[in-house]
Amino acid sequence: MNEVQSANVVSAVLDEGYPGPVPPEFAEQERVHAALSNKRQLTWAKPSPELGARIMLRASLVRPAAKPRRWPLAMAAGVALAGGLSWLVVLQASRPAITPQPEQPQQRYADATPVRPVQSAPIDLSLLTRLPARSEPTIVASFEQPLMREVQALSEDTQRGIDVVMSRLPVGMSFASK
Amino acid sequence: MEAKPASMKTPEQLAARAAEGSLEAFGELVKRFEVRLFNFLLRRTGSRADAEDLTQEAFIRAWERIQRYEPRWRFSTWLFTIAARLAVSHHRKRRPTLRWIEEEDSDAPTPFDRDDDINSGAKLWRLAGKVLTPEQHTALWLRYAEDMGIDEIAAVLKKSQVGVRVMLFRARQLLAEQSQREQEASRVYDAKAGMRAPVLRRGDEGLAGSLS
Repeated sequence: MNEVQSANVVSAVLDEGYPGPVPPEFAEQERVHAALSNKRQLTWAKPSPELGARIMLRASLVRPAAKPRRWPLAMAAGVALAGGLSWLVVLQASRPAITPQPEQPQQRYADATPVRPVQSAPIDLSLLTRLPARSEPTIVASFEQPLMREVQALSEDTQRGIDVVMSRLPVGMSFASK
Repeated sequence: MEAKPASMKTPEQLAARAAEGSLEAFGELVKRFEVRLFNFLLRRTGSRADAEDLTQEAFIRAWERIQRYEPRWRFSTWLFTIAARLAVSHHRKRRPTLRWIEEEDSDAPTPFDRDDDINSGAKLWRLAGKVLTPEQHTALWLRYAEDMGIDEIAAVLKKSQVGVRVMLFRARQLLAEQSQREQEASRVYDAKAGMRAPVLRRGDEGLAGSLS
């Protein structure tokens, strides 16, 4: 039996008046309970004789706060609701009635003649031969360079963000790139 | 039909009258609960002056808010809840420098100075003031001095009912163990030097063993 179960079992009998004996392993609890239940052995200290008079003097100068009433709130809510509803009714009544217009058939295309198939221009293969030798990496680099710069910038921003977050955490180490 | 005099009414009836504005009914409530509340707060604060100030403050707060009292709770539960909250905020402002020692304020002679009976309630209350946490002591006080039920103690302390059961269980367990140890240590001291055993506090568990 854990402590909570033990407490529940003992308390049920000693504090809540359930019939039945306290299990023998808790006999000490029963002994303390019996001793503390003897009110004659309790020492009651006496306050100053004028304490009561002091309290009553102060009480006579203070007015009890009025009970918080709920009806003003309920009434305000009701008035607001009624106002809102009547405003909606007036708004609806003042709007011109909109009747749906029958859709008129419209001509979508002015010229309905079939489109001629497009003849693609022949590729001039002589262009390829005119390119300087080993120019391919240069062309690829010219495409990739802005992308790589962007990737580098993103990576730096992310690293900076991680550093800021980690510096606020009490882990005592930095993940900054060396 | 003649109305009952104030002294014959229940606290809940008096609170209802006070809520109608009767200062006389409130005065009767002050008369009935003044000592009880003062003693409760004395154990929480450890100081007579602070306990009196807080007693006064708790009653004034109760009077100001008497309209909000719900009769489904006993009046005492409501009043002690106000007092417990005041005590908590007082504790936050200023920690008590010393714990209340039960015998100090007794008007009667102190018959428990040489009380070796571990079944003595007075001795257990004295021990409770020394070894229990303030919250455990409050729960024990409300249970045995104020006869509150588990649900009422839970309301005053803002705890769950299971939490209160566990708190009471631990408090009784601690008192049982401590009173046993004190009695054993007392026997050893008396046998060796005719001296009184000191009260063992939590953490001194080894002392009893080393003495025997």
